[in-house]
Amino acid sequence: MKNSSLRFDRLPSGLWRALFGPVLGAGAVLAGALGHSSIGYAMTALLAAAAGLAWLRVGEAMKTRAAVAAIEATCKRVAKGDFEARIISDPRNNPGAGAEKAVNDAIDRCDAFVREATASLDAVCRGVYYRYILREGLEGAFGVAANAINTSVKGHEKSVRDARRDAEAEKNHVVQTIARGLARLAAKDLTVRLGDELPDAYKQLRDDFNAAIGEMEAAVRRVGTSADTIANGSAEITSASDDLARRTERQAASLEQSTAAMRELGAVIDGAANASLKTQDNIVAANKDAVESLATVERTIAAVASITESSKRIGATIGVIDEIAFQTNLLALNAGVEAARAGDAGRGFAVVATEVRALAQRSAVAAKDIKSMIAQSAASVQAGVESMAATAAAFNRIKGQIAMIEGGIAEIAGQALSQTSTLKQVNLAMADIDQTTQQNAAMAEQATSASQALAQESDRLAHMVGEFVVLSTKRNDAAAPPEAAVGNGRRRVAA
Amino acid sequence: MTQSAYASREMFFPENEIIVSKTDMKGRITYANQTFCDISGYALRELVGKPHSILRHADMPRAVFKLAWDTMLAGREIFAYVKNATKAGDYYWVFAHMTPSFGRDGAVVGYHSNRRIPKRAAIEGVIAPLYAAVLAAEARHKNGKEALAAGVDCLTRALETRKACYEEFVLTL
Repeated sequence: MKNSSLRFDRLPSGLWRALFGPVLGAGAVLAGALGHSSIGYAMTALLAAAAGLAWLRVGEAMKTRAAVAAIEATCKRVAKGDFEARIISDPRNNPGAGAEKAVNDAIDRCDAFVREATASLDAVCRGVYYRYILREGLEGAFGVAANAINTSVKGHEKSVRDARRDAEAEKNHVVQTIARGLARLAAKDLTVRLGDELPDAYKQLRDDFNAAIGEMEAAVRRVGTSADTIANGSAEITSASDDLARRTERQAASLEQSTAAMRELGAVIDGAANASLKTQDNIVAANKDAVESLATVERTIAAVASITESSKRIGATIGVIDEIAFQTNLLALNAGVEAARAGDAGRGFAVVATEVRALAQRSAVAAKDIKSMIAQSAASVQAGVESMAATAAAFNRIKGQIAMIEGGIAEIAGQALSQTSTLKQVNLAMADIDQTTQQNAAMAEQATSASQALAQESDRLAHMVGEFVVLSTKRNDAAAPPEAAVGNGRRRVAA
Repeated sequence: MTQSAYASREMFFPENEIIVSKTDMKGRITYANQTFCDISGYALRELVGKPHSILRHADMPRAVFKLAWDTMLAGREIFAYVKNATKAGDYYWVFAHMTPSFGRDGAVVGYHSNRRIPKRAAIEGVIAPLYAAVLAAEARHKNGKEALAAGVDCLTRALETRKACYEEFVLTL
């Protein structure tokens, strides 16, 4: 507690100096510190009165001196702007109490004034204008100064308010002007431009606004042109992809027919291969038959040769028989002659001889018949032998031909196999082509729908762009005020 | 503090006087001027070293003092209508202007209050009913913290309905 240090704890050493020096000094300091001579003089008078009382009683004088010292110290602090300084003393039996209270009161008023003035002006710095200095308790010059400050604050508030109002009005004007422009812009009128209606401070804003919308207008015009180009392009793409789709369809159909033909061809080739295999089997069988037949013919020829041999031996045997018959006939003749000579006795014998002769003749005839038959038979056998030989030769030729046919058939079978393999490759290739064709068809379809979508979008784009109003010519109209351009240069962007 | 046994009277002080007091950082009174002593009925020696709550009147909501201290702790001034109790059990209304006191280095060295004659119409029309409402909000809670929170909430909402900050509200009454 700083203030408690200013208590009555020191005794005086030089009474006069101690009494009057500080009194006058404190009065002067106080007057100087407060800046108001009336308060200072009043206090000086009070202190002078206190000093007079001290003159009467020394003890009281000592207390008075202490009070004055406290006043002096306090006033020195106040003089340095320390408004926390106060004199805290017990008023009982204190001759300086009145003076101390007066000093405290003076400091209180100064303190109050300074706090009020500071707070009010701080508030002004924050833009708060209702924080006036409270006038209660501030009398005289304090009141005058407070009034001056309050009046100044009011004036400041008014000028700030006026400036704000003007700024607000200007802002409103600017905002409304821009809002009107933006409203037309919102209505897709890109011919809107700001003119001189904006204050000079907003020239940059106006220029930027106009430049921005000018850019927008040019951009919309370009977009319109581009939309046309896209529409044309997408129509061409649609037509081309339609063509492509149709051609791909035809190709797919042709491919299907080709595939069917290839399938048939494959079946034919398979049939040929099978037939050639079967034929090969048959040829083998035929060859076997031919070989067997040849063997049979050869065996037959051998048999016939054996017959010829037998016939020859029969012929020889027949010659012997014929010779025997001739001899027998001769003998019979001889026997007859002899029998005739013998007369009656030889008659029986003559009969036998005749009979033997008849038998010999019959044997000769039979031998002759057999001989002729054998000759006949030999001729037939010879003819048969010749036929057999011809047959064997024919069989041999057949064998050779069968071998040739077999080779040919084997070649056919080989070619059929090779064709089957080639056909398989062709089928694979055609399956590949089929898949590719289907993909092409799908892609053509996608391309068609994409180009149709593109066409729709470009239609919409053209429609949307068409809702904007732009100047039809470039330089001249852009410089003219927008209203002047209405009706002549303005147009909707061509869709 | 109850005034029930005593017919409480309202006391007044002269229009051009200021009731002045200073406290240290802890809120203990270090100085009170003559007007303070005169109206409160305390001698200076009875006040020095005591907390300001020595003057606390039962009609004052705690939320108002909390607002005052919070504002001053933030280094700002605050105005408040305050009903104080005298030593004798009477009461007096003041329009208190409370400020931190700054030392030479700019640091807060204590607190200062100048109290002026309040506007009668403001007390009767606004302040007394408002304080009664805040007090009632506080009275609904037994727990001190909850009571204070309820009071602050009530005061805040009352200010919100007026769409004014407290400073503007209290200065333009």
